Amino acid sequence: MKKNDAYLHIGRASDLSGVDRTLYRFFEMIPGALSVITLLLFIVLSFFIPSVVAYFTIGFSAYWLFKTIFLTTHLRHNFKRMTHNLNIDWTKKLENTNHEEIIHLVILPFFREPYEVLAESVRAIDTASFSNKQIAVVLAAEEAGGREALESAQRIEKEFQNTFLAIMTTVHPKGQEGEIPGKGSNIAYAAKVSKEKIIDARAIPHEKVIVSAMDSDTVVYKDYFSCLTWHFLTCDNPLRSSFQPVPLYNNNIWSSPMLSRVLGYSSTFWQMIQQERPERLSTFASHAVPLVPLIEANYWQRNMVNEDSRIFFNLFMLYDGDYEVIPLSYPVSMDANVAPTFWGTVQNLYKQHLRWSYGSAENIPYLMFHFIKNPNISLVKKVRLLFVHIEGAWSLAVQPLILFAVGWMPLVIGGKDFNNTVLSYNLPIVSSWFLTAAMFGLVFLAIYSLQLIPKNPQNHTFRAQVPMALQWILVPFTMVIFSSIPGLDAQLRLAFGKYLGFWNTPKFRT
Amino acid sequence: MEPLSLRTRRVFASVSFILFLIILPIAGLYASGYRLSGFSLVSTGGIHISAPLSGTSISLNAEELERTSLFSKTFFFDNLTPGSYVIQAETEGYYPWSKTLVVESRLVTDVSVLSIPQPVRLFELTQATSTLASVDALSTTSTTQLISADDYAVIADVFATTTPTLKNTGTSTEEQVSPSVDIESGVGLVIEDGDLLVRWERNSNPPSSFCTRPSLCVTHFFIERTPQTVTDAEFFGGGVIYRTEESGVMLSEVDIRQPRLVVSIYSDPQASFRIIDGTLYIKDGETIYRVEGF
Repeated sequence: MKKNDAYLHIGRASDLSGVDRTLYRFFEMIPGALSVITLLLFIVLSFFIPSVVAYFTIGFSAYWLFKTIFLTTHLRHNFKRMTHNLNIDWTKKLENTNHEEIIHLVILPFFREPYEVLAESVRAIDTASFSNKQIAVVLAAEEAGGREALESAQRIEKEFQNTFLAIMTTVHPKGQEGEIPGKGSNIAYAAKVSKEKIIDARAIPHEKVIVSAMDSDTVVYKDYFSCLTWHFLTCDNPLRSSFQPVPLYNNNIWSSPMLSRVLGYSSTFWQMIQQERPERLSTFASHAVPLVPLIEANYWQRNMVNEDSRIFFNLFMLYDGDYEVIPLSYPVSMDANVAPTFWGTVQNLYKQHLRWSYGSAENIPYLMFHFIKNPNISLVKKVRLLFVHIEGAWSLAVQPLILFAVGWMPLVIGGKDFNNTVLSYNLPIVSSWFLTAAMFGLVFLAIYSLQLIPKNPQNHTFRAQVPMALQWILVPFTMVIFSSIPGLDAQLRLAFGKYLGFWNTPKFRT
Repeated sequence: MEPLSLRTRRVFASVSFILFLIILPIAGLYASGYRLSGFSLVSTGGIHISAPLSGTSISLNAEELERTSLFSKTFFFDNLTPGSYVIQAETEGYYPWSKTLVVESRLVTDVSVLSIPQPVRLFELTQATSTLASVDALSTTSTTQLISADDYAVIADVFATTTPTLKNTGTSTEEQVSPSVDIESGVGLVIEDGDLLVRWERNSNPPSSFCTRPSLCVTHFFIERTPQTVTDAEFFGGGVIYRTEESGVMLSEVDIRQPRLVVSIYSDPQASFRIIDGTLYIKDGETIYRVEGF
């Protein structure tokens, strides 16, 4: 790590002291404060100037429509691009490159996931088109996961013993000082150990190694490593770039309840949109990072919940803003969030979105603090990145609530004078025009999801596809329950210093 | 295949933003009631009407615009230039209802239809000798109804021992000398020197029924201010039921706007009325009637 980056792995205000701590603590309050102030303003102003709030709600509904159209154009393009990329022969494309030099270190962290989940992921790596002799697989177990988890890893290690360049199991010790239990500390440990035992033991040049940090349920598509290698070899600055595939939640999609499917695909579509706006893209879930910057950043942060996006910001700060995420527009498949019972699924989905929302919120104080401390990053980059992330966290928590709740407050508390106006009667009418028009965006989501979904293994009929299309009607509901509310929850936890611990999404397949 | 170029994205963003900027004021003006007439903007108002029954035909200036149904009983007519409008509601088996309403710029005139059955059906109550007989009789359409002797006695006792005008549920301030005889949703019913008036008892703005136009409301107005003498009054069936010494029992809607629907329920001046458990009873001499249809 560079000398001037003592602040690189800050997880929260309590990691600092003195003025720095106060400053960071203040920054932690900003996302929650902005959201709460916005919502309170809507309510308070509805008492005093309901007309202004009504105009704002109508304007906001119009903004929502145009935002939907704008984002749908991105989604459409990325859908075409991903379809195109899936049809490319990436192996052929790698001809005339020095792809034989590239080594993929694939880390699969797990806690107590069943053997089948891990085995399917490793099997997919095995059957991928890229040479297995250039792939090393690390099964990153947790000591806290217990004997059974370790036995699953050892069974897989044995099964694939001579399949790859190497396959090994690491066991992250529990209770390490300065760490919180979770994926970040586990993969940081696994990367460090495997770098020594696999990469350095074979004297492989670090600049030729790409580390893929996968979620344990990640099933790669056939050409994933070829596609990743091609992008690594052809991008402008490979050692200043991370690589992001599109996460599809297809593994168990046909056995998932409607709610899981909608939320899973909503996440996918958001990532697809971001793939067309790389300046807004940060790494998410399964992603790839070259080994060199990873070592220089001292691997992933061990003291926070969402290491996946944070590693990008770590590297962005480490290299004074000279770091980017390259969208692969090529999918990997993961598990939709499912529990044995519907209520369990609802709880898991909430917890998952709470964790994601918390990640988006906790990056904001990190960015603000570093932007103050680091004069080497251009002001334009600072302002742009900060705006993107503050607006993102604010939108996530507040926009659905404006559209479906507080925006309508003037009708409830605006008083008789306001209720006698044409504006009061037209507020729901005109707003619903825009929102209904925006709902047509759901048609695109239904179409794209039907094309991305694998064939139903049990029922190939048209009738089986119908719920897959109709499920998108749930979006207004999911926006509030699984976006706004966990978003606010996460921001308020951060604002009040009730820091979130890691919650491992259980993997359950029927 | 390349990602969307920054230039393309900027074009998308700019076009979206420009469209948004164009639509924003249009939506705002439209929502406020402004409409384009030729090349000029005119400010309009609207009428909001609610009717309690399904199958009511709603007409505006003699043109039928809507018909109520089980799920749709309120309508908002917008794009109305300021002025007077005649709104009518007709339901089969009910008195026709109409109002002349003043529409003002950017405001909504709110009105509720009062539906009174036509004709009002009265059933003479007769004491039965057994409970079973009364149940059977109630299911018929006869103009007489058998009820148990006990029930009859209860009703007769109410007529003998109570008066509808002395509930005194309203508040009386220094300026309001006469207390309310009944109060419902903040509206007090006052009998003053033989006249009947309604009074808004709260400090907030009164409801639209107190407003000759949306911007001009009063705090009280007369329901009955003729030489006739009102003796009893009570809110009932969405309106007010009252008795005069000259005309008997009447039912009137509570709305300052004209024409006001007033229906004679029982025209004998000697008759009196009571409301027991939400049902209207009329007593004429020794005969008690139950009024149906409300």
